[in-house]
Amino acid sequence: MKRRLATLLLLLAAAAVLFAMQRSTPRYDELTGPLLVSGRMGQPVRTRLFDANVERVEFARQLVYERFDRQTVRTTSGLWAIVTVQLSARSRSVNVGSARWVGPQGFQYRLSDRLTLAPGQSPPTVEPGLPRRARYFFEIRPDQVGGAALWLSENLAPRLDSEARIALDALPRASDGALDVMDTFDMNAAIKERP
Amino acid sequence: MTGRGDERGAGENRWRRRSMVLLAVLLPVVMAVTARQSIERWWNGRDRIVREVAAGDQVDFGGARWQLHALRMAPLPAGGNIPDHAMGVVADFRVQVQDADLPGNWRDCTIALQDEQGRRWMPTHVLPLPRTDASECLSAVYSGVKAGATLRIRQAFLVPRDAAAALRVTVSLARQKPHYLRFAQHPRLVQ
Amino acid sequence: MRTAFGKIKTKLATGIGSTVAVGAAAVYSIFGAGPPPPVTQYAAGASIEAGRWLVTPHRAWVSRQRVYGVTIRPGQQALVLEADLGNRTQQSTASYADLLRPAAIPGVTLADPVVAQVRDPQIGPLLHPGMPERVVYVWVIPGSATPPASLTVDVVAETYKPVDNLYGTPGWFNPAVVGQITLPLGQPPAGAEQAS
Repeated sequence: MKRRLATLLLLLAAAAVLFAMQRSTPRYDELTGPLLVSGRMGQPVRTRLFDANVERVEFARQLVYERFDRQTVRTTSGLWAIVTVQLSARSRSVNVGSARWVGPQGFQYRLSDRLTLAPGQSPPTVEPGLPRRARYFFEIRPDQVGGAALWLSENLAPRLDSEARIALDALPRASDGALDVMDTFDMNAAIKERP
Repeated sequence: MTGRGDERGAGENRWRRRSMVLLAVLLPVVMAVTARQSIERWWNGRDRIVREVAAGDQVDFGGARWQLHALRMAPLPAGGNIPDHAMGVVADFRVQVQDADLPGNWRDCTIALQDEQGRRWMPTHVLPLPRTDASECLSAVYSGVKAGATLRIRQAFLVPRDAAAALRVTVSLARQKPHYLRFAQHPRLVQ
Repeated sequence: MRTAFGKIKTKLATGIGSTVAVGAAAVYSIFGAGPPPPVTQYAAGASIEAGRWLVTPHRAWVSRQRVYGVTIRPGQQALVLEADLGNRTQQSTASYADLLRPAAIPGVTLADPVVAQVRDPQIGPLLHPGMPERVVYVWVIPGSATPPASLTVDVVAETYKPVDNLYGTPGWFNPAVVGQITLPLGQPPAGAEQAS
Protein backbone atom coordinates (compact mmCIF):
# COMPACT_ATOMS: atom_id res chain seq x y z
CA MET A 1 0.00 0.00 0.00
CA LYS A 2 2.74 2.43 0.93
CA ARG A 3 4.68 1.46 -2.15
CA ARG A 4 1.71 2.13 -4.37
CA LEU A 5 1.18 5.52 -2.76
CA ALA A 6 4.83 6.38 -3.20
CA THR A 7 4.70 5.38 -6.85
CA LEU A 8 1.60 7.48 -7.41
CA LEU A 9 3.19 10.51 -5.77
CA LEU A 10 6.33 10.08 -7.82
CA LEU A 11 4.21 9.91 -10.95
CA LEU A 12 2.35 13.08 -10.06
CA ALA A 13 5.59 14.87 -9.27
CA ALA A 14 7.05 13.81 -12.62
CA ALA A 15 3.91 15.01 -14.40
CA ALA A 16 4.12 18.37 -12.63
CA VAL A 17 7.79 18.81 -13.57
CA LEU A 18 7.12 17.91 -17.20
CA PHE A 19 4.18 20.29 -17.33
CA ALA A 20 6.34 23.11 -15.94
CA MET A 21 9.05 22.35 -18.47
CA GLN A 22 6.59 22.38 -21.35
CA ARG A 23 5.05 25.66 -20.28
CA SER A 24 8.36 27.41 -19.73
CA THR A 25 10.08 26.34 -22.96
CA PRO A 26 10.77 29.49 -24.95
CA ARG A 27 9.16 29.65 -28.36
CA TYR A 28 11.00 29.86 -31.69
CA ASP A 29 10.82 33.61 -31.95
CA GLU A 30 12.24 34.02 -28.45
CA LEU A 31 15.05 31.56 -29.10
CA THR A 32 16.06 33.29 -32.32
CA GLY A 33 15.01 36.72 -31.21
CA PRO A 34 16.83 39.83 -30.11
CA LEU A 35 19.60 39.80 -27.52
CA LEU A 36 18.56 42.45 -25.06
CA VAL A 37 20.77 45.10 -23.54
CA SER A 38 19.00 47.22 -20.95
CA GLY A 39 19.92 50.66 -19.77
CA ARG A 40 18.60 53.98 -18.56
CA MET A 41 18.72 57.51 -19.82
CA GLY A 42 22.00 59.35 -19.49
CA GLN A 43 24.23 56.30 -19.59
CA PRO A 44 25.73 54.73 -22.73
CA VAL A 45 24.14 51.40 -23.56
CA ARG A 46 26.61 49.17 -25.34
CA THR A 47 25.33 46.74 -27.95
CA ARG A 48 27.26 44.69 -30.45
CA LEU A 49 27.44 47.32 -33.15
CA PHE A 50 26.65 50.65 -31.56
CA ASP A 51 26.55 52.55 -28.28
CA ALA A 52 23.48 54.60 -27.55
CA ASN A 53 23.05 57.30 -24.92
CA VAL A 54 19.58 58.79 -24.67
CA GLU A 55 20.18 62.43 -23.82
CA ARG A 56 16.72 63.86 -23.52
CA VAL A 57 13.07 63.39 -24.32
CA GLU A 58 10.82 66.24 -25.33
CA PHE A 59 7.10 66.37 -25.90
CA ALA A 60 5.15 68.68 -28.17
CA ARG A 61 1.60 69.04 -29.33
CA GLN A 62 2.57 69.85 -32.89
CA LEU A 63 5.64 69.94 -35.10
CA VAL A 64 6.50 72.74 -37.48
CA TYR A 65 9.02 72.75 -40.28
CA GLU A 66 9.84 75.03 -43.16
CA ARG A 67 10.78 73.77 -46.57
CA PHE A 68 11.15 75.90 -49.73
CA ASP A 69 9.67 78.83 -47.83
CA ARG A 70 6.53 76.88 -47.02
CA GLN A 71 5.69 76.12 -43.46
CA THR A 72 4.12 72.77 -42.68
CA VAL A 73 2.44 71.91 -39.41
CA ARG A 74 2.02 68.33 -38.28
CA THR A 75 -0.67 67.79 -35.68
CA THR A 76 -1.51 64.59 -33.90
CA SER A 77 -4.33 63.22 -31.82
CA GLY A 78 -1.85 62.32 -29.08
CA LEU A 79 1.56 63.79 -28.36
CA TRP A 80 4.75 64.07 -30.37
CA ALA A 81 7.68 62.54 -28.49
CA ILE A 82 11.15 63.60 -29.63
CA VAL A 83 14.00 61.48 -28.33
CA THR A 84 17.57 62.72 -28.81
CA VAL A 85 20.14 59.94 -28.76
CA GLN A 86 23.91 60.15 -28.98
CA LEU A 87 25.06 57.24 -31.13
CA SER A 88 28.52 55.88 -31.83
CA ALA A 89 29.50 52.89 -33.94
CA ARG A 90 31.97 50.30 -32.73
CA SER A 91 33.31 48.40 -35.73
CA ARG A 92 31.37 49.31 -38.85
CA SER A 93 28.82 51.77 -40.21
CA VAL A 94 25.44 51.13 -38.64
CA ASN A 95 22.06 52.47 -39.62
CA VAL A 96 20.17 52.50 -36.32
CA GLY A 97 16.94 52.70 -38.24
CA SER A 98 14.58 50.75 -36.02
CA ALA A 99 13.36 52.63 -32.98
CA ARG A 100 10.21 51.93 -30.98
CA TRP A 101 8.60 53.76 -28.10
CA VAL A 102 7.20 51.04 -25.85
CA GLY A 103 4.64 52.15 -23.31
CA PRO A 104 4.13 50.70 -19.83
CA GLN A 105 1.52 48.20 -21.07
CA GLY A 106 3.60 47.05 -23.99
CA PHE A 107 2.15 49.16 -26.82
CA GLN A 108 4.86 49.59 -29.44
CA TYR A 109 4.89 52.89 -31.29
CA ARG A 110 7.07 52.88 -34.37
CA LEU A 111 8.82 55.87 -35.90
CA SER A 112 6.45 58.34 -37.45
CA ASP A 113 6.37 58.17 -41.25
CA ARG A 114 4.79 61.60 -41.67
CA LEU A 115 8.08 63.50 -41.62
CA THR A 116 9.83 62.21 -44.72
CA LEU A 117 9.70 65.63 -46.38
CA ALA A 118 10.99 67.50 -43.36
CA PRO A 119 14.46 69.00 -43.66
CA GLY A 120 17.36 67.17 -42.08
CA GLN A 121 15.61 63.82 -41.97
CA SER A 122 18.42 61.58 -43.06
CA PRO A 123 18.66 57.98 -41.92
CA PRO A 124 20.43 57.74 -38.55
CA THR A 125 23.58 56.15 -39.95
CA VAL A 126 26.58 56.39 -37.64
CA GLU A 127 30.14 55.77 -38.81
CA PRO A 128 32.95 54.36 -36.63
CA GLY A 129 34.96 57.19 -35.12
CA LEU A 130 32.26 59.77 -35.88
CA PRO A 131 29.68 59.79 -33.08
CA ARG A 132 26.55 61.73 -33.89
CA ARG A 133 23.29 62.86 -32.43
CA ALA A 134 20.09 61.40 -33.87
CA ARG A 135 16.54 62.49 -33.24
CA TYR A 136 13.66 60.05 -33.30
CA PHE A 137 10.10 61.29 -33.67
CA PHE A 138 7.16 59.30 -32.37
CA GLU A 139 3.44 59.89 -32.11
CA ILE A 140 2.21 58.46 -28.85
CA ARG A 141 -0.93 58.40 -26.79
CA PRO A 142 -0.61 60.75 -23.81
CA ASP A 143 -1.04 57.99 -21.25
CA GLN A 144 1.95 56.06 -22.66
CA VAL A 145 4.43 58.63 -21.41
CA GLY A 146 5.38 57.34 -17.98
CA GLY A 147 7.25 54.07 -17.56
CA ALA A 148 8.14 53.90 -21.23
CA ALA A 149 11.24 52.48 -22.91
CA LEU A 150 13.05 53.08 -26.17
CA TRP A 151 13.97 50.00 -28.19
CA LEU A 152 16.81 50.66 -30.63
CA SER A 153 18.28 48.24 -33.14
CA GLU A 154 19.61 48.09 -36.65
CA ASN A 155 16.72 46.10 -38.09
CA LEU A 156 13.13 45.78 -37.04
CA ALA A 157 12.76 42.58 -35.00
CA PRO A 158 16.44 41.64 -34.93
CA ARG A 159 17.22 37.94 -35.16
CA LEU A 160 20.02 36.97 -32.78
CA ASP A 161 21.34 40.51 -32.76
CA SER A 162 21.39 43.14 -30.07
CA GLU A 163 18.52 45.38 -29.23
CA ALA A 164 19.03 48.22 -26.77
CA ARG A 165 16.10 48.71 -24.41
CA ILE A 166 16.53 52.00 -22.64
CA ALA A 167 14.16 53.00 -19.84
CA LEU A 168 12.99 56.58 -20.34
CA ASP A 169 13.01 57.66 -16.74
CA ALA A 170 14.12 61.30 -16.93
CA LEU A 171 11.14 63.05 -18.48
CA PRO A 172 10.95 66.86 -18.71
CA ARG A 173 8.91 68.13 -15.79
CA ALA A 174 7.65 71.61 -15.08
CA SER A 175 8.28 73.20 -11.69
CA ASP A 176 5.03 71.79 -10.31
CA GLY A 177 5.90 68.26 -11.31
CA ALA A 178 3.55 68.00 -14.27
CA LEU A 179 4.83 66.86 -17.62
CA ASP A 180 6.35 69.64 -19.67
CA VAL A 181 4.74 69.63 -23.11
CA MET A 182 5.73 72.24 -25.66
CA ASP A 183 3.06 73.67 -27.88
CA THR A 184 5.21 73.63 -30.98
CA PHE A 185 8.51 71.99 -31.79
CA ASP A 186 10.40 73.74 -34.55
CA MET A 187 12.34 71.21 -36.56
CA ASN A 188 14.40 73.80 -38.44
CA ALA A 189 15.68 75.33 -35.23
CA ALA A 190 16.48 71.89 -33.86
CA ILE A 191 18.68 71.07 -36.85
CA LYS A 192 20.63 74.27 -36.47
CA GLU A 193 21.67 73.53 -32.92
CA ARG A 194 25.00 71.73 -33.09
CA PRO A 195 26.43 69.56 -30.29
CA MET B 1 6.68 -9.33 -14.47
CA THR B 2 7.75 -11.39 -11.50
CA GLY B 3 10.29 -14.10 -11.82
CA ARG B 4 12.74 -12.34 -14.10
CA GLY B 5 14.95 -11.14 -11.29
CA ASP B 6 18.08 -9.11 -11.54
CA GLU B 7 20.08 -11.64 -13.47
CA ARG B 8 21.86 -9.86 -16.23
CA GLY B 9 24.82 -11.48 -17.73
CA ALA B 10 28.25 -9.94 -17.66
CA GLY B 11 28.09 -9.63 -21.42
CA GLU B 12 24.99 -7.46 -21.22
CA ASN B 13 26.63 -5.15 -18.71
CA ARG B 14 29.65 -4.77 -20.95
CA TRP B 15 27.53 -3.86 -23.98
CA ARG B 16 25.56 -1.37 -21.93
CA ARG B 17 28.78 0.45 -21.03
CA ARG B 18 29.98 0.35 -24.62
CA SER B 19 26.69 1.80 -25.85
CA MET B 20 26.86 4.67 -23.40
CA VAL B 21 30.38 5.50 -24.48
CA LEU B 22 29.42 5.25 -28.13
CA LEU B 23 26.50 7.62 -27.50
CA ALA B 24 28.85 10.22 -26.11
CA VAL B 25 30.92 9.87 -29.30
CA LEU B 26 28.10 9.59 -31.82
CA LEU B 27 26.04 12.58 -30.72
CA PRO B 28 28.70 15.19 -31.55
CA VAL B 29 29.49 13.37 -34.82
CA VAL B 30 25.84 13.47 -35.89
CA MET B 31 25.55 17.13 -34.96
CA ALA B 32 28.68 17.90 -36.95
CA VAL B 33 27.42 16.04 -40.01
CA THR B 34 24.02 17.75 -40.03
CA ALA B 35 25.48 21.17 -39.36
CA ARG B 36 28.35 20.80 -41.84
CA GLN B 37 26.54 22.49 -44.69
CA SER B 38 25.45 25.50 -42.65
CA ILE B 39 28.91 25.89 -41.19
CA GLU B 40 30.49 25.70 -44.62
CA ARG B 41 28.12 28.27 -46.01
CA TRP B 42 28.81 30.62 -43.09
CA TRP B 43 32.56 30.08 -43.28
CA ASN B 44 32.71 30.78 -46.99
CA GLY B 45 30.29 33.69 -46.82
CA ARG B 46 32.62 35.92 -44.88
CA ASP B 47 35.35 38.16 -46.25
CA ARG B 48 38.34 36.12 -45.18
CA ILE B 49 40.87 35.74 -47.97
CA VAL B 50 42.28 39.01 -49.15
CA ARG B 51 43.79 39.68 -52.56
CA GLU B 52 46.11 42.60 -52.26
CA VAL B 53 46.28 44.93 -55.22
CA ALA B 54 49.27 47.22 -55.57
CA ALA B 55 48.81 50.85 -56.51
CA GLY B 56 47.98 51.33 -60.16
CA ASP B 57 47.44 47.62 -60.86
CA GLN B 58 44.45 46.14 -62.61
CA VAL B 59 42.93 42.93 -61.29
CA ASP B 60 40.35 40.52 -62.67
CA PHE B 61 37.53 40.04 -60.19
CA GLY B 62 33.94 38.96 -60.67
CA GLY B 63 33.98 39.02 -64.45
CA ALA B 64 35.53 42.46 -64.76
CA ARG B 65 38.88 44.15 -64.63
CA TRP B 66 39.06 46.60 -61.72
CA GLN B 67 41.40 49.50 -61.36
CA LEU B 68 41.35 52.07 -58.60
CA HIS B 69 41.60 55.25 -60.59
CA ALA B 70 41.67 57.74 -57.71
CA LEU B 71 41.20 57.80 -53.96
CA ARG B 72 40.83 61.33 -52.70
CA MET B 73 39.98 62.80 -49.35
CA ALA B 74 39.06 66.27 -48.18
CA PRO B 75 38.11 67.57 -44.73
CA LEU B 76 34.47 68.52 -44.40
CA PRO B 77 33.04 71.37 -42.34
CA ALA B 78 30.58 70.26 -39.68
CA GLY B 79 26.97 71.13 -40.28
CA GLY B 80 23.70 69.58 -41.40
CA ASN B 81 24.23 65.88 -41.72
CA ILE B 82 28.03 66.05 -41.42
CA PRO B 83 29.40 65.46 -37.92
CA ASP B 84 32.47 67.19 -36.51
CA HIS B 85 36.01 66.14 -37.51
CA ALA B 86 34.77 64.38 -40.60
CA MET B 87 36.72 63.67 -43.73
CA GLY B 88 35.04 62.88 -46.99
CA VAL B 89 36.70 60.19 -49.08
CA VAL B 90 35.77 59.46 -52.68
CA ALA B 91 36.88 56.27 -54.43
CA ASP B 92 36.87 56.24 -58.22
CA PHE B 93 37.17 52.98 -60.11
CA ARG B 94 37.55 52.25 -63.78
CA VAL B 95 36.06 48.82 -64.39
CA GLN B 96 36.24 47.03 -67.72
CA VAL B 97 33.35 44.59 -67.91
CA GLN B 98 34.27 41.21 -69.37
CA ASP B 99 31.23 39.12 -68.46
CA ALA B 100 27.99 41.01 -69.05
CA ASP B 101 26.10 39.07 -66.39
CA LEU B 102 26.44 41.85 -63.84
CA PRO B 103 23.32 41.06 -61.77
CA GLY B 104 24.75 37.61 -61.07
CA ASN B 105 28.45 38.38 -60.76
CA TRP B 106 28.10 41.61 -58.85
CA ARG B 107 25.34 40.65 -56.47
CA ASP B 108 25.87 42.25 -53.02
CA CYS B 109 28.65 44.44 -54.37
CA THR B 110 30.18 46.09 -51.31
CA ILE B 111 32.86 48.74 -51.59
CA ALA B 112 34.11 49.75 -48.15
CA LEU B 113 37.02 51.44 -46.45
CA GLN B 114 38.97 49.45 -43.93
CA ASP B 115 41.60 50.49 -41.42
CA GLU B 116 44.34 48.55 -39.64
CA GLN B 117 42.07 47.57 -36.73
CA GLY B 118 39.45 46.12 -39.03
CA ARG B 119 36.85 48.89 -38.70
CA ARG B 120 34.80 49.28 -41.88
CA TRP B 121 33.13 52.29 -43.35
CA MET B 122 30.24 51.72 -45.76
CA PRO B 123 29.35 54.20 -48.51
CA THR B 124 27.38 57.22 -47.49
CA HIS B 125 24.80 59.27 -49.35
CA VAL B 126 24.93 62.48 -47.37
CA LEU B 127 27.76 64.03 -49.38
CA PRO B 128 26.58 66.19 -52.24
CA LEU B 129 28.85 65.09 -55.07
CA PRO B 130 28.88 66.67 -58.50
CA ARG B 131 26.93 64.65 -61.03
CA THR B 132 29.13 62.83 -63.51
CA ASP B 133 28.64 59.69 -65.55
CA ALA B 134 30.06 57.70 -62.65
CA SER B 135 27.58 55.55 -60.78
CA GLU B 136 27.46 53.52 -57.62
CA CYS B 137 28.28 49.83 -57.77
CA LEU B 138 24.74 48.64 -57.08
CA SER B 139 23.18 51.01 -59.60
CA ALA B 140 25.73 49.98 -62.21
CA VAL B 141 24.58 46.37 -61.93
CA TYR B 142 21.28 47.13 -63.63
CA SER B 143 22.58 49.60 -66.17
CA GLY B 144 22.63 46.99 -68.93
CA VAL B 145 26.29 47.32 -69.80
CA LYS B 146 27.71 45.11 -72.53
CA ALA B 147 30.92 43.10 -72.32
CA GLY B 148 33.98 45.15 -73.15
CA ALA B 149 32.58 48.48 -71.93
CA THR B 150 34.31 50.44 -69.21
CA LEU B 151 32.29 51.61 -66.23
CA ARG B 152 33.13 54.39 -63.86
CA ILE B 153 32.20 53.44 -60.32
CA ARG B 154 32.31 56.06 -57.63
CA GLN B 155 31.55 55.75 -53.93
CA ALA B 156 31.78 58.34 -51.18
CA PHE B 157 32.57 57.71 -47.53
CA LEU B 158 32.45 59.69 -44.31
CA VAL B 159 35.41 58.90 -42.04
CA PRO B 160 37.04 60.50 -39.01
CA ARG B 161 39.95 62.81 -39.80
CA ASP B 162 42.44 61.04 -37.59
CA ALA B 163 41.88 57.64 -39.23
CA ALA B 164 41.61 58.79 -42.83
CA ALA B 165 45.25 58.54 -43.88
CA ALA B 166 45.60 54.82 -43.11
CA LEU B 167 42.48 53.59 -44.88
CA ARG B 168 42.34 51.16 -47.77
CA VAL B 169 39.54 50.33 -50.16
CA THR B 170 38.05 46.84 -50.21
CA VAL B 171 35.72 45.40 -52.82
CA SER B 172 33.71 42.28 -52.16
CA LEU B 173 31.15 40.44 -54.30
CA ALA B 174 28.77 37.72 -53.15
CA ARG B 175 29.96 35.13 -55.66
CA GLN B 176 33.61 35.71 -54.93
CA LYS B 177 33.42 35.32 -51.17
CA PRO B 178 35.55 34.44 -49.19
CA HIS B 179 37.93 36.27 -51.52
CA TYR B 180 37.89 40.04 -51.56
CA LEU B 181 40.07 42.78 -52.99
CA ARG B 182 42.07 45.27 -51.00
CA PHE B 183 43.79 48.10 -52.79
CA ALA B 184 47.09 49.22 -51.29
CA GLN B 185 46.58 52.89 -52.14
CA HIS B 186 45.94 55.29 -49.29
CA PRO B 187 43.70 58.33 -49.79
CA ARG B 188 45.33 61.43 -51.17
CA LEU B 189 44.48 64.74 -49.57
CA VAL B 190 43.05 67.28 -51.97
CA GLN B 191 42.34 70.98 -51.24
CA MET C 1 -11.93 -18.13 -20.51
CA ARG C 2 -14.90 -15.81 -20.82
CA THR C 3 -14.21 -12.45 -22.43
CA ALA C 4 -14.83 -9.48 -20.20
CA PHE C 5 -17.93 -8.15 -21.89
CA GLY C 6 -19.53 -10.98 -23.77
CA LYS C 7 -19.84 -11.24 -27.52
CA ILE C 8 -22.54 -8.69 -28.33
CA LYS C 9 -21.28 -6.09 -25.95
CA THR C 10 -17.77 -6.53 -27.38
CA LYS C 11 -19.01 -5.82 -30.86
CA LEU C 12 -20.82 -2.73 -29.61
CA ALA C 13 -17.71 -1.49 -27.78
CA THR C 14 -15.53 -1.85 -30.84
CA GLY C 15 -18.06 -0.17 -33.08
CA ILE C 16 -18.93 2.76 -30.84
CA GLY C 17 -16.18 5.05 -32.15
CA SER C 18 -17.04 4.75 -35.81
CA THR C 19 -20.77 5.00 -35.03
CA VAL C 20 -20.25 8.30 -33.23
CA ALA C 21 -18.10 9.62 -36.08
CA VAL C 22 -20.65 8.78 -38.75
CA GLY C 23 -23.44 10.22 -36.64
CA ALA C 24 -21.56 13.49 -36.07
CA ALA C 25 -20.81 13.85 -39.78
CA ALA C 26 -24.47 13.33 -40.58
CA VAL C 27 -25.56 15.96 -38.06
CA TYR C 28 -23.03 18.52 -39.42
CA SER C 29 -24.17 18.05 -43.00
CA ILE C 30 -27.83 18.40 -42.03
CA PHE C 31 -27.24 21.62 -40.12
CA GLY C 32 -24.77 23.04 -42.61
CA ALA C 33 -26.95 22.54 -45.63
CA GLY C 34 -29.27 25.42 -44.85
CA PRO C 35 -28.88 29.00 -46.19
CA PRO C 36 -25.82 30.90 -44.86
CA PRO C 37 -26.53 33.30 -41.98
CA PRO C 38 -27.14 36.85 -43.11
CA VAL C 39 -24.23 39.27 -42.86
CA THR C 40 -24.69 42.11 -40.36
CA GLN C 41 -25.48 45.36 -42.12
CA TYR C 42 -23.95 48.59 -40.88
CA ALA C 43 -24.73 52.18 -41.73
CA ALA C 44 -22.63 55.31 -41.43
CA GLY C 45 -21.39 56.04 -37.92
CA ALA C 46 -21.51 52.45 -36.64
CA SER C 47 -18.28 51.15 -35.06
CA ILE C 48 -17.32 47.75 -36.39
CA GLU C 49 -14.78 45.56 -34.61
CA ALA C 50 -12.82 43.95 -37.39
CA GLY C 51 -9.86 42.10 -35.94
CA ARG C 52 -6.94 44.49 -36.07
CA TRP C 53 -9.11 47.56 -36.70
CA LEU C 54 -12.09 49.38 -35.28
CA VAL C 55 -13.79 50.82 -38.38
CA THR C 56 -16.31 53.66 -38.22
CA PRO C 57 -17.44 54.59 -41.74
CA HIS C 58 -18.65 58.12 -42.27
CA ARG C 59 -19.47 58.88 -45.87
CA ALA C 60 -18.70 57.97 -49.44
CA TRP C 61 -18.56 59.90 -52.66
CA VAL C 62 -17.36 59.82 -56.23
CA SER C 63 -14.44 62.02 -57.13
CA ARG C 64 -12.86 63.11 -60.38
CA GLN C 65 -10.23 65.34 -58.85
CA ARG C 66 -7.34 64.81 -56.50
CA VAL C 67 -8.73 63.70 -53.15
CA TYR C 68 -6.63 64.12 -49.99
CA GLY C 69 -3.39 63.78 -51.92
CA VAL C 70 -4.36 60.78 -54.09
CA THR C 71 -3.87 61.66 -57.75
CA ILE C 72 -6.71 60.82 -60.11
CA ARG C 73 -5.76 61.12 -63.73
CA PRO C 74 -8.10 62.66 -66.30
CA GLY C 75 -10.33 59.93 -67.71
CA GLN C 76 -10.55 58.24 -64.34
CA GLN C 77 -12.84 58.59 -61.39
CA ALA C 78 -12.63 57.29 -57.88
CA LEU C 79 -14.97 55.82 -55.30
CA VAL C 80 -13.96 57.32 -51.99
CA LEU C 81 -14.97 56.09 -48.57
CA GLU C 82 -14.10 58.11 -45.48
CA ALA C 83 -13.77 56.19 -42.23
CA ASP C 84 -12.12 56.30 -38.83
CA LEU C 85 -9.63 53.50 -38.29
CA GLY C 86 -8.53 52.59 -34.78
CA ASN C 87 -5.59 50.25 -34.31
CA ARG C 88 -6.60 47.49 -31.89
CA THR C 89 -3.24 45.74 -32.00
CA GLN C 90 -0.20 46.19 -29.85
CA GLN C 91 2.05 47.66 -32.55
CA SER C 92 1.92 50.42 -35.12
CA THR C 93 0.78 48.87 -38.36
CA ALA C 94 -0.37 49.80 -41.83
CA SER C 95 -2.17 46.56 -42.79
CA TYR C 96 -5.52 47.98 -43.77
CA ALA C 97 -5.47 47.29 -47.49
CA ASP C 98 -7.57 44.13 -47.20
CA LEU C 99 -9.94 45.48 -44.57
CA LEU C 100 -12.66 46.80 -46.87
CA ARG C 101 -13.67 44.84 -49.95
CA PRO C 102 -16.17 46.62 -52.20
CA ALA C 103 -18.91 44.63 -53.86
CA ALA C 104 -18.31 43.95 -57.53
CA ILE C 105 -19.41 46.64 -59.93
CA PRO C 106 -20.50 45.28 -63.32
CA GLY C 107 -17.93 45.91 -66.00
CA VAL C 108 -15.20 47.21 -63.71
CA THR C 109 -12.26 45.37 -62.18
CA LEU C 110 -11.56 47.06 -58.87
CA ALA C 111 -7.91 47.67 -58.08
CA ASP C 112 -6.42 47.67 -54.59
CA PRO C 113 -7.47 50.73 -52.64
CA VAL C 114 -5.14 53.63 -52.01
CA VAL C 115 -5.49 54.75 -48.41
CA ALA C 116 -4.69 58.33 -47.50
CA GLN C 117 -4.77 60.17 -44.23
CA VAL C 118 -7.15 63.09 -43.97
CA ARG C 119 -4.94 65.06 -41.58
CA ASP C 120 -1.93 65.24 -43.96
CA PRO C 121 -1.52 64.36 -47.62
CA GLN C 122 0.06 61.08 -46.58
CA ILE C 123 -0.51 57.88 -48.51
CA GLY C 124 -0.45 54.64 -46.58
CA PRO C 125 0.06 56.14 -43.11
CA LEU C 126 1.31 54.09 -40.21
CA LEU C 127 -1.45 53.93 -37.62
CA HIS C 128 -0.49 53.70 -33.98
CA PRO C 129 -2.11 51.70 -31.16
CA GLY C 130 -4.92 53.49 -29.42
CA MET C 131 -4.85 56.52 -31.73
CA PRO C 132 -7.71 56.41 -34.24
CA GLU C 133 -7.25 58.42 -37.41
CA ARG C 134 -9.59 59.44 -40.18
CA VAL C 135 -8.55 57.98 -43.52
CA VAL C 136 -10.04 57.69 -46.97
CA TYR C 137 -10.09 54.55 -49.08
CA VAL C 138 -9.84 55.43 -52.76
CA TRP C 139 -10.74 52.91 -55.45
CA VAL C 140 -9.84 54.22 -58.89
CA ILE C 141 -12.16 53.12 -61.70
CA PRO C 142 -12.29 54.14 -65.35
CA GLY C 143 -14.11 57.38 -65.97
CA SER C 144 -16.46 55.74 -68.45
CA ALA C 145 -17.97 53.37 -65.88
CA THR C 146 -21.24 54.28 -64.22
CA PRO C 147 -20.80 54.31 -60.48
CA PRO C 148 -23.59 52.66 -58.49
CA ALA C 149 -26.01 54.69 -56.40
CA SER C 150 -24.62 53.35 -53.17
CA LEU C 151 -21.29 51.81 -52.22
CA THR C 152 -21.43 48.40 -50.56
CA VAL C 153 -18.26 47.14 -48.95
CA ASP C 154 -17.60 43.96 -47.00
CA VAL C 155 -15.61 44.35 -43.81
CA VAL C 156 -13.01 41.60 -43.57
CA ALA C 157 -11.63 40.75 -40.15
CA GLU C 158 -8.80 38.47 -39.16
CA THR C 159 -8.44 36.74 -35.82
CA TYR C 160 -5.37 36.86 -33.62
CA LYS C 161 -3.49 33.67 -32.85
CA PRO C 162 -0.75 34.11 -30.24
CA VAL C 163 0.95 30.94 -31.47
CA ASP C 164 0.49 29.96 -35.08
CA ASN C 165 0.70 26.43 -36.40
CA LEU C 166 3.79 26.77 -38.52
CA TYR C 167 6.37 28.90 -36.72
CA GLY C 168 4.84 29.37 -33.31
CA THR C 169 4.86 33.14 -33.77
CA PRO C 170 1.88 35.42 -33.19
CA GLY C 171 -0.11 36.65 -36.16
CA TRP C 172 -3.49 37.52 -37.62
CA PHE C 173 -5.09 34.78 -39.72
CA ASN C 174 -8.29 33.51 -41.31
CA PRO C 175 -9.86 36.57 -42.90
CA ALA C 176 -13.66 36.40 -42.69
CA VAL C 177 -16.42 38.82 -43.52
CA VAL C 178 -17.91 40.25 -40.33
CA GLY C 179 -20.21 42.88 -41.75
CA GLN C 180 -21.28 44.92 -44.68
CA ILE C 181 -21.41 48.69 -44.96
CA THR C 182 -23.75 50.39 -47.39
CA LEU C 183 -23.26 54.11 -47.89
CA PRO C 184 -25.00 56.31 -50.45
CA LEU C 185 -22.55 57.96 -52.85
CA GLY C 186 -23.03 61.62 -52.17
CA GLN C 187 -21.19 64.86 -52.59
CA PRO C 188 -17.56 65.29 -51.51
CA PRO C 189 -17.08 67.34 -48.36
CA ALA C 190 -15.49 70.76 -48.59
CA GLY C 191 -11.69 70.65 -48.64
CA ALA C 192 -11.46 67.04 -49.76
CA GLU C 193 -10.74 67.73 -53.37
CA GLN C 194 -8.08 69.82 -54.98
CA ALA C 195 -7.50 70.36 -58.63
CA SER C 196 -4.52 68.25 -59.70
